[in-house]
Amino acid sequence: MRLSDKNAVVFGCNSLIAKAICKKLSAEGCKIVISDLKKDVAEQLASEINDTVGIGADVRIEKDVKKVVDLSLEKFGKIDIAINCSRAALFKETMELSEKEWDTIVDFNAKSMYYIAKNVLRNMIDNNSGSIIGVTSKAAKSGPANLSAYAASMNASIGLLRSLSCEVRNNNIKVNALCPGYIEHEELALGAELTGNTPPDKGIYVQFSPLIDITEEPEALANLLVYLASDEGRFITGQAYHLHDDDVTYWRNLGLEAEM
Amino acid sequence: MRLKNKTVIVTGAGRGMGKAFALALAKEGANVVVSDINLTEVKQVSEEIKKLGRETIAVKTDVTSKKEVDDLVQKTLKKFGSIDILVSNAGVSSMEHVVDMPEEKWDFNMDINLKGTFLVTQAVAKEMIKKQNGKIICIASMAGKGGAATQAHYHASKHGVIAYVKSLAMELASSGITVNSVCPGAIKTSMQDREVKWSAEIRGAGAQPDDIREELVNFTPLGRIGQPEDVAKVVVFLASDDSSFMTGQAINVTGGQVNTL
Repeated sequence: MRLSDKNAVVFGCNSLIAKAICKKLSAEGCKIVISDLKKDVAEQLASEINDTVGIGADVRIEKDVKKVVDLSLEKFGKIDIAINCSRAALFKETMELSEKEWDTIVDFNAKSMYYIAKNVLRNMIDNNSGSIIGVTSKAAKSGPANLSAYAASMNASIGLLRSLSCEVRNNNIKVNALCPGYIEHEELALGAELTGNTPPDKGIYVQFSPLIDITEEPEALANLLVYLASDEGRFITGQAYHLHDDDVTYWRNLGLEAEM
Repeated sequence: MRLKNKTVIVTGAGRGMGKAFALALAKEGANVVVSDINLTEVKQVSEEIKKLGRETIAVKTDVTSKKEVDDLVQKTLKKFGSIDILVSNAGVSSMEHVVDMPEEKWDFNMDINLKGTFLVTQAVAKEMIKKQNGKIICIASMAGKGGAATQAHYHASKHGVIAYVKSLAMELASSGITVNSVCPGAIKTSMQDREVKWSAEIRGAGAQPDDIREELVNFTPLGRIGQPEDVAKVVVFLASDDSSFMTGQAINVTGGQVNTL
Protein backbone atom coordinates (compact mmCIF):
# COMPACT_ATOMS: atom_id res chain seq x y z
CA MET A 1 0.00 0.00 0.00
CA ARG A 2 1.48 3.27 -1.15
CA LEU A 3 -0.36 5.68 1.13
CA SER A 4 -0.38 3.94 4.48
CA ASP A 5 0.01 6.38 7.39
CA LYS A 6 -1.19 9.17 5.08
CA ASN A 7 -4.24 11.30 5.74
CA ALA A 8 -6.24 13.04 3.03
CA VAL A 9 -8.96 15.61 2.89
CA VAL A 10 -11.26 15.67 -0.15
CA PHE A 11 -13.55 18.55 -1.05
CA GLY A 12 -16.48 17.68 -3.33
CA CYS A 13 -17.41 14.03 -3.72
CA ASN A 14 -20.63 13.93 -5.72
CA SER A 15 -19.10 12.62 -8.93
CA LEU A 16 -17.80 9.38 -10.34
CA ILE A 17 -14.30 10.87 -10.46
CA ALA A 18 -14.35 11.91 -6.78
CA LYS A 19 -15.77 8.57 -5.72
CA ALA A 20 -13.10 6.69 -7.64
CA ILE A 21 -10.44 8.91 -6.03
CA CYS A 22 -11.74 8.35 -2.49
CA LYS A 23 -11.98 4.59 -2.99
CA LYS A 24 -8.50 4.42 -4.49
CA LEU A 25 -6.99 6.51 -1.68
CA SER A 26 -8.58 4.18 0.85
CA ALA A 27 -7.41 1.08 -0.98
CA GLU A 28 -3.87 2.45 -0.74
CA GLY A 29 -4.19 2.79 3.04
CA CYS A 30 -5.13 6.46 3.33
CA LYS A 31 -7.49 7.84 5.97
CA ILE A 32 -9.85 10.45 4.55
CA VAL A 33 -12.11 13.27 5.60
CA ILE A 34 -14.66 13.58 2.79
CA SER A 35 -16.69 16.75 2.41
CA ASP A 36 -19.36 17.88 0.04
CA LEU A 37 -21.82 20.73 -0.32
CA LYS A 38 -24.43 18.09 0.45
CA LYS A 39 -23.77 16.61 3.87
CA ASP A 40 -25.73 13.42 3.20
CA VAL A 41 -23.72 12.71 0.03
CA ALA A 42 -20.45 13.00 1.97
CA GLU A 43 -21.77 10.87 4.82
CA GLN A 44 -23.08 8.22 2.46
CA LEU A 45 -19.75 7.88 0.65
CA ALA A 46 -17.87 7.87 3.96
CA SER A 47 -20.07 5.03 5.18
CA GLU A 48 -18.98 2.94 2.20
CA ILE A 49 -15.24 3.40 2.81
CA ASN A 50 -13.04 2.38 5.76
CA ASP A 51 -11.37 5.00 7.96
CA THR A 52 -13.29 7.95 6.59
CA VAL A 53 -15.44 10.71 7.97
CA GLY A 54 -18.07 12.60 5.99
CA ILE A 55 -18.94 16.25 6.57
CA GLY A 56 -20.94 18.96 4.83
CA ALA A 57 -19.10 22.10 3.64
CA ASP A 58 -19.67 24.90 1.14
CA VAL A 59 -16.27 25.59 -0.42
CA ARG A 60 -17.37 29.15 -1.26
CA ILE A 61 -17.22 29.91 2.48
CA GLU A 62 -13.79 29.97 4.09
CA LYS A 63 -15.24 29.14 7.52
CA ASP A 64 -16.63 25.90 6.07
CA VAL A 65 -13.30 24.99 4.48
CA LYS A 66 -11.53 25.66 7.77
CA LYS A 67 -14.08 23.49 9.58
CA VAL A 68 -13.17 20.52 7.35
CA VAL A 69 -9.45 21.14 7.82
CA ASP A 70 -9.90 21.41 11.60
CA LEU A 71 -11.91 18.19 11.72
CA SER A 72 -9.23 16.47 9.69
CA LEU A 73 -6.49 17.62 12.08
CA GLU A 74 -8.58 16.67 15.10
CA LYS A 75 -9.29 13.17 13.75
CA PHE A 76 -5.98 12.30 12.18
CA GLY A 77 -3.44 14.81 13.51
CA LYS A 78 -2.01 15.95 10.17
CA ILE A 79 -2.94 16.46 6.53
CA ASP A 80 -0.71 14.85 3.91
CA ILE A 81 -2.94 15.13 0.88
CA ALA A 82 -5.54 17.79 0.02
CA ILE A 83 -7.78 17.30 -2.99
CA ASN A 84 -10.22 19.78 -4.44
CA CYS A 85 -12.85 18.02 -6.49
CA SER A 86 -15.31 20.92 -6.32
CA ARG A 87 -16.57 21.19 -9.87
CA ALA A 88 -19.67 23.02 -10.97
CA ALA A 89 -20.32 23.53 -14.69
CA LEU A 90 -22.86 25.90 -16.16
CA PHE A 91 -23.71 25.19 -19.78
CA LYS A 92 -24.88 28.56 -21.06
CA GLU A 93 -23.95 31.05 -23.76
CA THR A 94 -21.62 33.78 -22.48
CA MET A 95 -23.97 36.46 -23.79
CA GLU A 96 -26.71 35.09 -21.52
CA LEU A 97 -24.50 34.67 -18.45
CA SER A 98 -25.43 36.94 -15.52
CA GLU A 99 -22.85 38.47 -13.23
CA LYS A 100 -24.22 36.37 -10.38
CA GLU A 101 -23.91 33.15 -12.39
CA TRP A 102 -20.33 34.06 -13.29
CA ASP A 103 -19.47 34.70 -9.62
CA THR A 104 -21.06 31.46 -8.50
CA ILE A 105 -19.10 29.27 -10.91
CA VAL A 106 -15.77 31.11 -10.46
CA ASP A 107 -16.09 31.08 -6.66
CA PHE A 108 -17.08 27.44 -6.47
CA ASN A 109 -14.32 26.16 -8.76
CA ALA A 110 -11.45 28.65 -8.31
CA LYS A 111 -11.84 30.60 -5.09
CA SER A 112 -12.40 27.26 -3.36
CA MET A 113 -8.88 26.26 -4.42
CA TYR A 114 -7.47 29.40 -2.80
CA TYR A 115 -9.37 28.77 0.45
CA ILE A 116 -8.32 25.13 0.56
CA ALA A 117 -4.66 25.78 -0.25
CA LYS A 118 -4.43 28.58 2.29
CA ASN A 119 -5.99 26.51 5.06
CA VAL A 120 -4.06 23.25 4.57
CA LEU A 121 -0.68 24.88 3.92
CA ARG A 122 0.09 25.80 7.53
CA ASN A 123 -0.02 22.18 8.60
CA MET A 124 1.88 20.98 5.53
CA ILE A 125 4.60 23.61 6.02
CA ASP A 126 4.94 22.57 9.67
CA ASN A 127 5.33 18.95 8.57
CA ASN A 128 7.65 19.87 5.69
CA SER A 129 5.57 17.52 3.55
CA GLY A 130 2.37 17.51 1.55
CA SER A 131 0.56 17.13 -1.73
CA ILE A 132 -2.16 19.44 -3.02
CA ILE A 133 -4.12 18.32 -6.06
CA GLY A 134 -6.82 20.25 -7.86
CA VAL A 135 -9.17 18.25 -10.05
CA THR A 136 -9.86 20.84 -12.73
CA SER A 137 -10.84 20.12 -16.34
CA LYS A 138 -9.55 19.68 -19.86
CA ALA A 139 -11.88 22.59 -20.61
CA ALA A 140 -9.28 24.81 -18.89
CA LYS A 141 -6.95 24.02 -21.78
CA SER A 142 -9.35 23.70 -24.70
CA GLY A 143 -11.99 26.37 -23.99
CA PRO A 144 -15.29 24.89 -25.16
CA ALA A 145 -18.23 27.04 -26.27
CA ASN A 146 -21.02 27.67 -23.75
CA LEU A 147 -18.76 26.82 -20.82
CA SER A 148 -16.74 30.02 -20.56
CA ALA A 149 -17.13 30.59 -16.81
CA TYR A 150 -16.27 26.96 -16.18
CA ALA A 151 -13.19 27.04 -18.46
CA ALA A 152 -12.05 30.36 -16.96
CA SER A 153 -12.48 29.15 -13.38
CA MET A 154 -10.68 25.86 -13.97
CA ASN A 155 -7.73 27.54 -15.69
CA ALA A 156 -7.66 30.09 -12.86
CA SER A 157 -7.35 27.17 -10.49
CA ILE A 158 -4.42 25.82 -12.53
CA GLY A 159 -2.75 29.25 -12.47
CA LEU A 160 -3.05 29.38 -8.71
CA LEU A 161 -1.63 25.87 -8.36
CA ARG A 162 1.31 26.58 -10.67
CA SER A 163 2.27 29.68 -8.70
CA LEU A 164 1.78 27.88 -5.42
CA SER A 165 4.07 25.08 -6.56
CA CYS A 166 6.85 27.69 -6.88
CA GLU A 167 6.11 29.16 -3.45
CA VAL A 168 6.30 25.89 -1.52
CA ARG A 169 9.08 24.24 -3.50
CA ASN A 170 11.39 24.40 -0.47
CA ASN A 171 8.76 23.02 1.90
CA ASN A 172 8.60 19.62 0.19
CA ILE A 173 5.01 20.28 -0.82
CA LYS A 174 3.89 19.19 -4.28
CA VAL A 175 1.11 21.00 -6.07
CA ASN A 176 -0.50 19.61 -9.21
CA ALA A 177 -3.72 19.56 -11.21
CA LEU A 178 -5.65 16.83 -12.99
CA CYS A 179 -7.70 17.76 -16.05
CA PRO A 180 -10.49 15.25 -16.70
CA GLY A 181 -11.40 15.08 -20.36
CA TYR A 182 -15.14 15.08 -20.00
CA ILE A 183 -17.73 16.69 -17.76
CA GLU A 184 -20.02 14.53 -15.70
CA HIS A 185 -23.72 15.15 -15.63
CA GLU A 186 -23.45 15.66 -11.84
CA GLU A 187 -21.24 18.72 -12.42
CA LEU A 188 -23.68 20.20 -14.90
CA ALA A 189 -26.57 19.45 -12.55
CA LEU A 190 -24.73 21.09 -9.65
CA GLY A 191 -23.85 24.16 -11.72
CA ALA A 192 -27.49 24.47 -12.74
CA GLU A 193 -28.69 24.00 -9.17
CA LEU A 194 -26.30 26.61 -7.74
CA THR A 195 -27.34 29.19 -10.32
CA GLY A 196 -31.06 28.44 -10.40
CA ASN A 197 -31.01 26.97 -13.91
CA THR A 198 -32.49 23.78 -15.30
CA PRO A 199 -29.90 21.03 -15.73
CA PRO A 200 -29.14 20.41 -19.41
CA ASP A 201 -30.27 17.27 -21.12
CA LYS A 202 -27.77 14.44 -20.85
CA GLY A 203 -27.68 14.34 -24.62
CA ILE A 204 -25.87 17.69 -24.96
CA TYR A 205 -22.57 15.92 -25.14
CA VAL A 206 -21.75 12.98 -27.27
CA GLN A 207 -18.75 10.74 -27.43
CA PHE A 208 -16.22 12.20 -29.83
CA SER A 209 -13.49 9.63 -29.91
CA PRO A 210 -14.62 6.04 -30.26
CA LEU A 211 -11.06 5.01 -29.33
CA ILE A 212 -11.46 6.02 -25.72
CA ASP A 213 -13.84 4.44 -23.24
CA ILE A 214 -14.69 7.29 -20.89
CA THR A 215 -16.09 4.92 -18.31
CA GLU A 216 -12.47 4.07 -17.54
CA GLU A 217 -11.45 7.67 -16.94
CA PRO A 218 -12.40 8.06 -13.24
CA GLU A 219 -10.22 5.13 -12.24
CA ALA A 220 -7.39 6.20 -14.55
CA LEU A 221 -7.44 9.66 -12.94
CA ALA A 222 -7.49 8.10 -9.46
CA ASN A 223 -4.44 6.01 -10.37
CA LEU A 224 -2.55 9.08 -11.54
CA LEU A 225 -3.59 10.99 -8.43
CA VAL A 226 -2.24 8.25 -6.15
CA TYR A 227 1.02 8.31 -8.08
CA LEU A 228 1.30 12.10 -7.66
CA ALA A 229 0.41 11.94 -3.96
CA SER A 230 2.71 9.02 -3.18
CA ASP A 231 6.45 8.96 -2.67
CA GLU A 232 6.89 7.82 -6.29
CA GLY A 233 5.64 11.19 -7.49
CA ARG A 234 7.83 13.25 -5.17
CA PHE A 235 9.70 15.01 -7.97
CA ILE A 236 6.57 16.16 -9.81
CA THR A 237 5.11 19.58 -9.10
CA GLY A 238 3.42 22.48 -10.86
CA GLN A 239 1.91 20.23 -13.53
CA ALA A 240 -1.60 20.03 -14.99
CA TYR A 241 -2.29 16.63 -16.53
CA HIS A 242 -4.91 15.55 -18.98
CA LEU A 243 -4.96 11.91 -20.03
CA HIS A 244 -5.42 12.05 -23.76
CA ASP A 245 -5.41 14.57 -26.57
CA ASP A 246 -8.51 13.18 -28.22
CA ASP A 247 -11.28 15.20 -26.69
CA VAL A 248 -13.67 12.52 -25.62
CA THR A 249 -16.77 14.62 -25.76
CA TYR A 250 -17.95 17.51 -27.79
CA TRP A 251 -20.88 19.74 -27.32
CA ARG A 252 -23.92 19.12 -29.45
CA ASN A 253 -24.85 22.07 -31.70
CA LEU A 254 -21.62 23.90 -30.91
CA GLY A 255 -19.08 21.19 -31.48
CA LEU A 256 -16.04 23.42 -31.56
CA GLU A 257 -13.07 23.45 -29.27
CA ALA A 258 -10.07 25.72 -29.63
CA GLU A 259 -6.66 24.17 -30.05
CA MET A 260 -4.17 24.71 -27.27
CA MET B 1 -3.48 53.09 -42.39
CA ARG B 2 -4.94 49.77 -41.40
CA LEU B 3 -7.75 50.93 -39.11
CA LYS B 4 -9.14 53.98 -40.90
CA ASN B 5 -12.42 55.17 -39.31
CA LYS B 6 -12.76 52.10 -37.11
CA THR B 7 -14.21 52.63 -33.66
CA VAL B 8 -12.11 51.19 -30.87
CA ILE B 9 -12.60 50.95 -27.12
CA VAL B 10 -9.50 50.56 -24.96
CA THR B 11 -9.97 49.93 -21.23
CA GLY B 12 -7.23 50.80 -18.77
CA ALA B 13 -6.02 53.38 -21.29
CA GLY B 14 -4.75 55.97 -18.80
CA ARG B 15 -1.15 54.84 -18.75
CA GLY B 16 1.29 52.05 -19.54
CA MET B 17 0.35 49.54 -22.18
CA GLY B 18 -3.27 50.72 -22.49
CA LYS B 19 -2.11 54.22 -23.38
CA ALA B 20 0.36 52.84 -25.92
CA PHE B 21 -2.40 50.72 -27.49
CA ALA B 22 -4.76 53.71 -27.74
CA LEU B 23 -2.10 55.86 -29.44
CA ALA B 24 -0.94 53.09 -31.79
CA LEU B 25 -4.52 52.34 -32.85
CA ALA B 26 -5.17 56.06 -33.42
CA LYS B 27 -2.04 56.34 -35.55
CA GLU B 28 -3.51 53.60 -37.75
CA GLY B 29 -6.60 55.73 -38.32
CA ALA B 30 -8.96 54.51 -35.60
CA ASN B 31 -11.22 56.69 -33.50
CA VAL B 32 -10.58 55.68 -29.93
CA VAL B 33 -12.74 55.62 -26.82
CA VAL B 34 -10.26 55.69 -23.99
CA SER B 35 -11.57 54.36 -20.70
CA ASP B 36 -9.97 54.12 -17.30
CA ILE B 37 -10.86 54.26 -13.63
CA ASN B 38 -8.67 57.38 -13.49
CA LEU B 39 -10.51 59.96 -15.59
CA THR B 40 -7.80 62.62 -15.28
CA GLU B 41 -5.16 60.38 -16.87
CA VAL B 42 -7.40 59.15 -19.63
CA LYS B 43 -8.44 62.71 -20.54
CA GLN B 44 -4.79 63.50 -21.18
CA VAL B 45 -4.53 60.47 -23.47
CA SER B 46 -7.64 61.67 -25.24
CA GLU B 47 -5.96 65.04 -25.85
CA GLU B 48 -2.97 63.28 -27.44
CA ILE B 49 -5.31 61.34 -29.72
CA LYS B 50 -7.02 64.57 -30.80
CA LYS B 51 -3.64 65.92 -31.84
CA LEU B 52 -3.33 62.92 -34.16
CA GLY B 53 -6.53 64.12 -35.86
CA ARG B 54 -8.81 61.35 -34.61
CA GLU B 55 -12.10 61.54 -32.83
CA THR B 56 -12.07 60.39 -29.24
CA ILE B 57 -13.89 60.46 -25.95
CA ALA B 58 -12.61 59.74 -22.45
CA VAL B 59 -14.84 57.71 -20.16
CA LYS B 60 -14.41 56.85 -16.50
CA THR B 61 -15.03 53.11 -16.06
CA ASP B 62 -14.61 50.73 -13.17
CA VAL B 63 -14.61 47.43 -15.11
CA THR B 64 -15.96 45.54 -12.10
CA SER B 65 -19.17 47.56 -12.26
CA LYS B 66 -21.64 46.28 -14.83
CA LYS B 67 -23.42 49.62 -14.67
CA GLU B 68 -20.28 51.56 -15.56
CA VAL B 69 -19.37 49.07 -18.29
CA ASP B 70 -22.82 49.45 -19.83
CA ASP B 71 -22.40 53.21 -19.58
CA LEU B 72 -19.09 52.94 -21.50
CA VAL B 73 -20.81 51.03 -24.30
CA GLN B 74 -23.73 53.46 -24.44
CA LYS B 75 -21.45 56.52 -24.58
CA THR B 76 -19.47 54.88 -27.38
CA LEU B 77 -22.60 54.08 -29.37
CA LYS B 78 -23.95 57.60 -28.88
CA LYS B 79 -20.75 59.15 -30.20
CA PHE B 80 -19.76 56.67 -32.92
CA GLY B 81 -22.80 54.46 -33.64
CA SER B 82 -21.05 51.12 -33.39
CA ILE B 83 -17.98 49.34 -32.02
CA ASP B 84 -15.50 47.62 -34.34
CA ILE B 85 -12.66 46.74 -31.99
CA LEU B 86 -12.31 46.18 -28.25
CA VAL B 87 -9.02 46.08 -26.39
CA SER B 88 -9.82 44.81 -22.91
CA ASN B 89 -6.69 45.87 -21.09
CA ALA B 90 -7.60 47.09 -17.59
CA GLY B 91 -5.62 45.06 -15.10
CA VAL B 92 -3.93 45.11 -11.71
CA SER B 93 -1.45 43.07 -9.72
CA SER B 94 -0.22 42.64 -6.17
CA MET B 95 2.26 40.38 -4.45
CA GLU B 96 1.88 38.12 -1.45
CA HIS B 97 2.32 34.46 -0.57
CA VAL B 98 -0.83 32.34 -0.55
CA VAL B 99 -0.57 31.53 3.17
CA ASP B 100 -0.57 35.25 4.01
CA MET B 101 -2.93 36.37 1.25
CA PRO B 102 -5.91 38.38 2.50
CA GLU B 103 -9.12 37.52 0.72
CA GLU B 104 -9.38 41.15 -0.47
CA LYS B 105 -6.20 40.70 -2.51
CA TRP B 106 -7.56 37.57 -4.17
CA ASP B 107 -10.76 39.44 -5.02
CA PHE B 108 -8.85 42.54 -6.19
CA ASN B 109 -6.88 40.54 -8.79
CA MET B 110 -9.70 38.23 -9.83
CA ASP B 111 -12.41 40.89 -10.01
CA ILE B 112 -10.55 43.42 -12.14
CA ASN B 113 -8.51 41.07 -14.32
CA LEU B 114 -10.95 38.22 -14.89
CA LYS B 115 -14.47 39.34 -14.06
CA GLY B 116 -13.75 42.74 -15.61
CA THR B 117 -12.79 40.95 -18.83
CA PHE B 118 -16.08 39.03 -18.74
CA LEU B 119 -18.22 42.13 -18.11
CA VAL B 120 -16.54 44.29 -20.76
CA THR B 121 -16.37 41.64 -23.48
CA GLN B 122 -19.95 40.53 -22.88
CA ALA B 123 -21.34 44.06 -23.14
CA VAL B 124 -19.32 44.88 -26.27
CA ALA B 125 -19.89 41.51 -27.96
CA LYS B 126 -23.64 42.01 -27.72
CA GLU B 127 -23.23 45.07 -29.96
CA MET B 128 -20.79 43.35 -32.31
CA ILE B 129 -23.21 40.43 -32.78
CA LYS B 130 -25.80 42.88 -34.13
CA LYS B 131 -23.55 43.77 -37.04
CA GLN B 132 -21.98 40.30 -37.30
CA ASN B 133 -18.47 41.71 -37.20
CA GLY B 134 -15.84 42.64 -34.68
CA LYS B 135 -12.42 42.12 -33.15
CA ILE B 136 -11.88 41.53 -29.47
CA ILE B 137 -8.39 41.57 -27.96
CA CYS B 138 -7.92 40.74 -24.29
CA ILE B 139 -4.64 41.52 -22.59
CA ALA B 140 -3.70 38.50 -20.52
CA SER B 141 -0.08 37.94 -19.54
CA MET B 142 2.79 35.50 -19.63
CA ALA B 143 1.38 34.79 -16.15
CA GLY B 144 -1.52 33.10 -17.92
CA LYS B 145 0.78 30.29 -18.97
CA GLY B 146 2.98 29.57 -15.97
CA GLY B 147 3.40 30.20 -12.29
CA ALA B 148 5.45 32.41 -10.00
CA ALA B 149 5.71 32.66 -6.25
CA THR B 150 3.84 35.55 -4.58
CA GLN B 151 1.43 36.05 -7.48
CA ALA B 152 -0.92 33.08 -7.32
CA HIS B 153 -3.99 35.34 -7.53
CA TYR B 154 -2.61 37.26 -10.50
CA HIS B 155 -1.64 34.05 -12.32
CA ALA B 156 -5.05 32.54 -11.55
CA SER B 157 -6.77 35.59 -13.04
CA LYS B 158 -4.64 35.60 -16.20
CA HIS B 159 -5.01 31.84 -16.72
CA GLY B 160 -8.73 32.49 -16.43
CA VAL B 161 -8.61 35.16 -19.12
CA ILE B 162 -6.89 32.82 -21.59
CA ALA B 163 -9.43 30.02 -21.10
CA TYR B 164 -12.33 32.48 -21.18
CA VAL B 165 -11.05 33.92 -24.47
CA LYS B 166 -10.89 30.44 -26.02
CA SER B 167 -14.47 29.69 -25.01
CA LEU B 168 -15.76 33.08 -26.13
CA ALA B 169 -13.97 32.72 -29.48
CA MET B 170 -15.85 29.48 -30.12
CA GLU B 171 -19.18 31.12 -29.31
CA LEU B 172 -18.63 34.23 -31.43
CA ALA B 173 -16.97 32.59 -34.45
CA SER B 174 -20.28 32.16 -36.27
CA SER B 175 -20.99 35.88 -35.78
CA GLY B 176 -17.82 36.93 -37.59
CA ILE B 177 -16.13 38.09 -34.41
CA THR B 178 -12.59 37.07 -33.55
CA VAL B 179 -11.37 36.92 -29.96
CA ASN B 180 -7.70 36.63 -29.05
CA SER B 181 -5.53 37.29 -26.05
CA VAL B 182 -2.07 38.80 -25.85
CA CYS B 183 0.46 37.63 -23.28
CA PRO B 184 3.06 40.33 -22.60
CA GLY B 185 6.23 39.38 -20.75
CA ALA B 186 8.40 41.85 -18.84
CA ILE B 187 7.23 45.25 -20.12
CA LYS B 188 8.32 48.66 -18.80
CA THR B 189 5.20 50.04 -17.13
CA SER B 190 4.26 51.49 -13.77
CA MET B 191 2.97 48.02 -12.87
CA GLN B 192 6.44 46.64 -13.46
CA ASP B 193 7.99 49.46 -11.44
CA ARG B 194 5.78 48.49 -8.50
CA GLU B 195 6.44 44.79 -8.96
CA VAL B 196 10.23 45.03 -9.03
CA LYS B 197 10.05 47.15 -5.89
CA TRP B 198 7.80 44.61 -4.13
CA SER B 199 10.01 41.75 -5.32
CA ALA B 200 13.07 43.44 -3.86
CA GLU B 201 11.28 44.02 -0.55
CA ILE B 202 10.02 40.43 -0.36
CA ARG B 203 13.47 39.07 -1.17
CA GLY B 204 15.14 41.27 1.45
CA ALA B 205 18.89 40.91 2.09
CA GLY B 206 19.49 44.31 0.53
CA ALA B 207 18.01 43.39 -2.86
CA GLN B 208 17.31 46.46 -5.00
CA PRO B 209 14.66 46.99 -7.71
CA ASP B 210 17.43 47.27 -10.30
CA ASP B 211 18.71 43.81 -9.30
CA ILE B 212 15.28 42.39 -10.10
CA ARG B 213 15.20 44.31 -13.42
CA GLU B 214 18.56 42.87 -14.33
CA GLU B 215 17.23 39.37 -13.64
CA LEU B 216 14.23 40.04 -15.89
CA VAL B 217 16.62 41.02 -18.68
CA ASN B 218 18.71 37.89 -18.07
CA PHE B 219 15.58 35.74 -18.30
CA THR B 220 14.68 37.33 -21.64
CA PRO B 221 16.47 35.84 -24.67
CA LEU B 222 16.20 39.08 -26.63
CA GLY B 223 18.11 40.70 -23.78
CA ARG B 224 15.99 43.72 -22.90
CA ILE B 225 12.87 44.81 -21.08
CA GLY B 226 9.97 45.19 -23.51
CA GLN B 227 8.35 48.55 -24.18
CA PRO B 228 4.57 49.09 -24.30
CA GLU B 229 5.00 49.89 -28.01
CA ASP B 230 6.36 46.37 -28.61
CA VAL B 231 3.04 44.97 -27.43
CA ALA B 232 1.02 47.68 -29.19
CA LYS B 233 2.30 46.47 -32.58
CA VAL B 234 0.81 43.04 -31.91
CA VAL B 235 -2.45 44.55 -30.69
CA VAL B 236 -2.71 46.60 -33.92
CA PHE B 237 -2.10 43.43 -35.92
CA LEU B 238 -4.84 41.58 -34.02
CA ALA B 239 -7.17 44.57 -34.49
CA SER B 240 -6.56 44.66 -38.24
CA ASP B 241 -7.67 42.49 -41.14
CA ASP B 242 -4.15 41.06 -41.24
CA SER B 243 -5.24 38.65 -38.51
CA SER B 244 -8.65 37.78 -39.98
CA PHE B 245 -8.12 34.00 -39.76
CA MET B 246 -6.93 33.99 -36.14
CA THR B 247 -9.22 33.40 -33.19
CA GLY B 248 -9.06 31.83 -29.73
CA GLN B 249 -5.29 32.28 -29.54
CA ALA B 250 -3.02 33.51 -26.75
CA ILE B 251 -0.06 35.30 -28.36
CA ASN B 252 3.19 35.66 -26.41
CA VAL B 253 5.02 38.99 -26.65
CA THR B 254 7.84 38.19 -24.27
CA GLY B 255 11.16 38.65 -26.02
CA GLY B 256 11.47 34.89 -26.18
CA GLN B 257 10.89 34.27 -22.50
CA VAL B 258 8.84 31.12 -22.01
CA ASN B 259 6.81 30.58 -18.90
CA THR B 260 5.06 27.28 -19.32
CA LEU B 261 5.60 24.89 -16.49
